[in-house]
Amino acid sequence: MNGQTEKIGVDNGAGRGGIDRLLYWRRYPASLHAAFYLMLAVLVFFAFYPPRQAEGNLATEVVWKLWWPGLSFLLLAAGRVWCGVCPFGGLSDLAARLRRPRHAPPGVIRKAGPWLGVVSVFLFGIAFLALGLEGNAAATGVILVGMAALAFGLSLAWKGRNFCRYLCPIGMITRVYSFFSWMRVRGGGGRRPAMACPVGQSPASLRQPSQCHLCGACTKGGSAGVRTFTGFAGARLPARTEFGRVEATLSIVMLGLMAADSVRMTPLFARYQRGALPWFGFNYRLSVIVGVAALTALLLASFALASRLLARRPGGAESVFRSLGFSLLPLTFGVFMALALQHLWSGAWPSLQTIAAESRLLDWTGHMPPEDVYFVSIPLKIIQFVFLAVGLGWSLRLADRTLQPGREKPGPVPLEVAPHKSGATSLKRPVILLAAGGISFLFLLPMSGAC
Amino acid sequence: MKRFILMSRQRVLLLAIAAIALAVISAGGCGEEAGDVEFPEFVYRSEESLEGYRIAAANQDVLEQIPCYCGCERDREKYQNLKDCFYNRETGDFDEHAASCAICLEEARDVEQWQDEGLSLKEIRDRIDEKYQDRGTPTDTPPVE
Repeated sequence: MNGQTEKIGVDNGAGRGGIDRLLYWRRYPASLHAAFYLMLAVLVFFAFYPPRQAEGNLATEVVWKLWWPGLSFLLLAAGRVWCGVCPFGGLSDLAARLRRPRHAPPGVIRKAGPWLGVVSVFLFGIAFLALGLEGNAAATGVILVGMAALAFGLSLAWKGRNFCRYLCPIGMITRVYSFFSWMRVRGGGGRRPAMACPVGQSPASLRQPSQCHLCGACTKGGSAGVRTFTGFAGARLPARTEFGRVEATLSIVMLGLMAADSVRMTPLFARYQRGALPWFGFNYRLSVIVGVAALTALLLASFALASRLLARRPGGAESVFRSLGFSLLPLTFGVFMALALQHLWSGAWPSLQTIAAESRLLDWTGHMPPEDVYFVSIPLKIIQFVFLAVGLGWSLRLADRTLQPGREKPGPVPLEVAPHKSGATSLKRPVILLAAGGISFLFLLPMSGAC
Repeated sequence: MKRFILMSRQRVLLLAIAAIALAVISAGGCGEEAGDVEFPEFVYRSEESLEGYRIAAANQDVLEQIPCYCGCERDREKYQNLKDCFYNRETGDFDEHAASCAICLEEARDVEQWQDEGLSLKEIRDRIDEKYQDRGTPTDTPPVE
């Protein structure tokens, strides 16, 4: 995403410090993959096996109540490091070693690739909300098996980590949000050619650091592999960013999905379902799908309309749309973190109890559900609003600095980010403030941990 | 023209993937209308909750003879059987307890499934006791004769 690899933060030094030590370890990521294969197998087994002692299922507790909210904090601290050790990426590498396919995926897949990622994120969000994955062990098992089969199968058929590159929703989310990570990646430089990158990047120059999966392929054999360094991007904004229509759409789709997830945690959701279900033949999932899709479509249409109104000359709307989507990214990341915290705050301890009970480490004697599942915790709300406020502040800063309406350029040129706020208040500010206002209203309401 | 064809193919591919996936996700989500019963809002919190309360509304007599294993027996005056997790003993109104209790909802689903399979009340009770005995202390529900 960041076109120009400006030096931000502190270099780890000679590519061997901090997480580089892990990246350049000769058994990375194979040995970690082995551990995660085992964990994946255990989770899939328990997903299709009813709980023996506890209330919840081991697989759903680990995947959705611990790993998923924990991933956002890992993303903040260490970027796409999960993509490096993810068992699905490992299965892709394993398939590639078994068959060594020579051909890249067909053109139609490569060209549709970025949009496939957006569709995949949207469908993943819909599945999460409509199927209630947090409490749906069988669906969780099917999704885990399906993702593993796709990762393995697509790398048997064509060269590269195709699932990770085109289809993985988690990869797509970590890609756009790795911009906010404390740990950042840059090209290794040097003259020695780097080993082939399974996601088609050039590890020596690495024009798009957010595309790097930290799989370690380029760090083997003494080649010019990627290096990491630390420091938040907020310290200095990148001068240019290759943030296209796809990323801008994803940014708004993420806002829609997270707004829907926020609504689901408030009493508004039950009210919506009570009113909407008769319209959908009492099909609970269809009612959720239509609600989430309508909310996301409404947001996309509003942002498209705002872009058209803000563009000062014909053909400039796309550039404003990209700029708006880019400016929105910190706010959506703030919401992402606030939601993750809500899940962890209310779900982590019961999940650990469930795991202990299922492992026979705890004698489970049942529980009494809370009198009211919707709760207000002042410390939690304060932290959540800090995330939202930081995200909003950063978004407004970007809105002021990214290409102003009237100066927009059409086409796939990188967005320009001015080093300082340029004169008049950006017209994009009201759009960002409106989005932040809607989300803040939801976070003011009492929320549950999950459904 | 070639570019246009490619664009169309991409759109068809994306739309096909989205349509198939949405059809798969919504399949099986078709609930039954709960007759004339008007549920309070909290029942609509999740699909499992709505299904559980629908089963409870239709099988109150059966649930009254099934113990609950979720741990609610700690409040013995309020909870004496599975029906009490769905209906308040004192007022007869719907109780919010089961809407956020996975064990109560799972038990209700099991009761309905085993009824559909033609099991007698005693057989259902025995199966419930066998399946849930490790998951909590049961309510003090009189045995089925």
